[in-house]
Amino acid sequence: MTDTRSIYRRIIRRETHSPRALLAMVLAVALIVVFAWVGSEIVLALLGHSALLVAPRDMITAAARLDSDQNAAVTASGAGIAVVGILLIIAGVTPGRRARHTIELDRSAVIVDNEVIASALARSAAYAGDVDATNSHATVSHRRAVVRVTPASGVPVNRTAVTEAVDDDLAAFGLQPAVRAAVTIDERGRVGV
Amino acid sequence: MTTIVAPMASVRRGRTRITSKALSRVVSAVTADALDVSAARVGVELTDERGDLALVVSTPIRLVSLNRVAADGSIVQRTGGSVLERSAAAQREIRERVEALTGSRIARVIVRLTGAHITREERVR
Repeated sequence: MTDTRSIYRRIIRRETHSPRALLAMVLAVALIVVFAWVGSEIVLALLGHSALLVAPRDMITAAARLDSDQNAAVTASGAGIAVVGILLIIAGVTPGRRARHTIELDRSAVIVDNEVIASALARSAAYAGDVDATNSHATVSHRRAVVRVTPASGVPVNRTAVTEAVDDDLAAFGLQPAVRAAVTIDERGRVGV
Repeated sequence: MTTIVAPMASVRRGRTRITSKALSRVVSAVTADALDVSAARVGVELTDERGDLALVVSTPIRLVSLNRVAADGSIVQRTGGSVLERSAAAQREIRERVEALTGSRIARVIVRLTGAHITREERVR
């Protein structure tokens, strides 16, 4: 019997984090093109042929003189490159989590979108609070669920019941990472709902 | 193979929604009863006040004619008191009966008298 657990772990990791593959591919292709070009220029210069775009010697002298003849175009392109660089660093360092959770099961790898969890919570909150389903909203983030219930005017909502229902749901789901719920009951109600 | 799902400890079958239209009808019927006018003449405004229901009721009131009052001052007391006393009583009655009928908590009731229907005091049959 093969150990499926490590496979599941890998699948879960893949599904809960946004892939950087496209970014890496684009970057790699760009670098390959640049280096291929620089390499060809060097070879052409060594063979004594005329350059494709710029001869390597001219590249280096131009780069060395960059700070002496500043102009708007140089400054602008420098700023642009800096922004791209910062974005790439951010993409590399941040975890890139997707809005998903996993449910712990031995038999299979289960991945749930946060919206699905949110609508489940909203529905059971509506049921527990005895309000119409349209008056119960929930949002789920990585570790927090916020449930908001709007009472019908004149019919107070039992906050404890709602909190209990939501907590029971979350305990039953067994989400990974665990989610804590915060329940708010709107002070203002709506008439006739 | 069948799976038997145990029934939940307390079975709730759903919820009852009382629409604002139904609430308005109840309020106007109760108001019409309290002030002895036609329910069709009663206007009802429902608003929310910190989660409770606030009612603004615009209604005419049935009065005995001034000639009768001039002729016999005690008729005011016999028909339920002054206009203010009667609207205060109507306010209480609307609150109690609407709460009892709809189960909604009521924050306040504002009775706005918009007219008077003058009738003769009828002889007791």
